Amino acid sequence: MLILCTLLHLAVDGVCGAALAAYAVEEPDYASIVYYFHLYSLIAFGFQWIAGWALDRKMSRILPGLALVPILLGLGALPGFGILSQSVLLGAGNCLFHVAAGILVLRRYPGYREPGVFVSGGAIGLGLGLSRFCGTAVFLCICAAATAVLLFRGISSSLKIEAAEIHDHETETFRAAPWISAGAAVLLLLCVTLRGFSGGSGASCHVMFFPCVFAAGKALGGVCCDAIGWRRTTAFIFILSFAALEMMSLSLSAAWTWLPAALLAFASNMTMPLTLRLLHGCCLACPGLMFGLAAGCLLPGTFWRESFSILPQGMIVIQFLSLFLAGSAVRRTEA
Amino acid sequence: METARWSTALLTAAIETPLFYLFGCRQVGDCLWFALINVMSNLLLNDTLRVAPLESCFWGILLSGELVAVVLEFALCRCLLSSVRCSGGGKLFLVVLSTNLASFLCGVIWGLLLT
Repeated sequence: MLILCTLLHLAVDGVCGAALAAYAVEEPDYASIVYYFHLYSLIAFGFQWIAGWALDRKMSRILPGLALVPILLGLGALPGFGILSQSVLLGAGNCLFHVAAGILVLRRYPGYREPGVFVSGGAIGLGLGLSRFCGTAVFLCICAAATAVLLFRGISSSLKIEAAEIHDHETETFRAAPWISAGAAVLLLLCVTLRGFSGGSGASCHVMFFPCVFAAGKALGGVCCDAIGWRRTTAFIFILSFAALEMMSLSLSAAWTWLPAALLAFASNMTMPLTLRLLHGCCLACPGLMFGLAAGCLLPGTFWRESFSILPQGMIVIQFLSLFLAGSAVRRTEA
Repeated sequence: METARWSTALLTAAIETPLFYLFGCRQVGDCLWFALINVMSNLLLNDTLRVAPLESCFWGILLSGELVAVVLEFALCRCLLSSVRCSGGGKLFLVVLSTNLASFLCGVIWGLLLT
C-alpha cells in the first residue's frame, strides 16, 4: 500500500503542478499567476484540517474520498473550465487526497519511514509537473490506475481502514495526557511553520535537483529515525543544518554555491516524517486532523516567504528545540 | 574575523570540556561530542549576537542568549551522549549550566583584564 500511496502522491502533485505550470506559461501577467497559485495553495493546504477532521470522524469516508480525487483532478486539469475553477478543483482534489492517504499511512504503519517515503513522492511529482517534464494526461493516467488498485484493495478489505480503534503499538509508544499533547502539538506546528519559510532553492545544474533533494530529505529522515531513533536524528538534522550555515559563510566558488542551500534544504526536509509521526502521537484518534494542521502550517511560508525573514541560526535552534521538547513530551520510549 | 570566531569557540570548548570531564562524565566519546556541541553553540550564539541590537539592552540579550545556549547544549547532550542519554536529565543540566557559567565568568574576567 505504501508504494501505491507514494505513486498516487507523485501523480496527484504532478497533475496540479503540470496544470498550473501550463497556465503560468501562457499567462503574461505575473500578479495573476501568483494570485491563482496562492488560491490553489490556500485550498490545498488550508482546508486539509477540516477534511481530515471529517474523515477522522468516519473512517468509511476515506474510500469515497479517494474515489473523488481523480474526478476532481481530471476536471481541474481541463483548461476549458477557466483558471479560477481549475485552481479550486485542483486544490480540492489535492486536499482530499493528502488527508485520505495520510490517514491510511499514519494508521497502518507504526514507524517514521513510511510517512517519510509517502511525502517524498509529492516533491518529485510537483517538480516534474512544474517543470513540465510530463503533461497532465500522464499523471492523470497514473492517478486513475493507482486509485483503482487502492479502491479495489480497500473494498476487498485488505486495507482494514474501517477499523477506527487505536492500535496497541500506538498507545505503547505515545503518552496521552491532553495538556502535554497540546503543548507538544504547538511546538511541532511551530517547527512545520519554520520549515515552510526555509523552502530551499538556488542555482543548480538541473531543474529537478532541488525536488530530488527535498524527496531524499523526507525519505531519509524517516529511515534515519527508524534506524537510530528520533533523538539522534533530531541532533543529526541540527548538525547538518549547522554545517550548511557554516558552508554559507565560506567564500565558495560560484560552481559550489548550490551545496550549502541543498544541504540546508535536505536537513530541513528530514524533519517532515518526524513532525508527522509525533503530531499523530499527540492525538492518536485524529490522524487526519493532525496531518491537516501540519499542512496548514506550511501556508504562512507560502504567502509571506518574501516579506518575512528569520535569522537562519535562530531558525535551526528553534526547530531543534521544538522537536526535542515535543518528542520528549510525547514519546514514551527512547526509540 | 573568521579566525577570531573559531578561536573564541575553540577556547570555550577548551575551558568547558575538561570541566565536563571533572564533573564525572569520563567517556572519551562523550567528551568529544560535548566539545563539538560547545563549538557549535558558541558559533551560533556569537553569530546571533553579532546581528542583535546590543546597544539597547546588552546584558539582557547576552544573558538570554547564554540561557538558550545552555538549553541547546543540554538538549544536544541528551540526544548524543551515550552515558547520559537514558538517565535522568537533572544532573546533566546542572553540569552543562556549571560549565557554561565557568566559561562565561572566564570571558567576563578576560574582558575586564583587557579594559
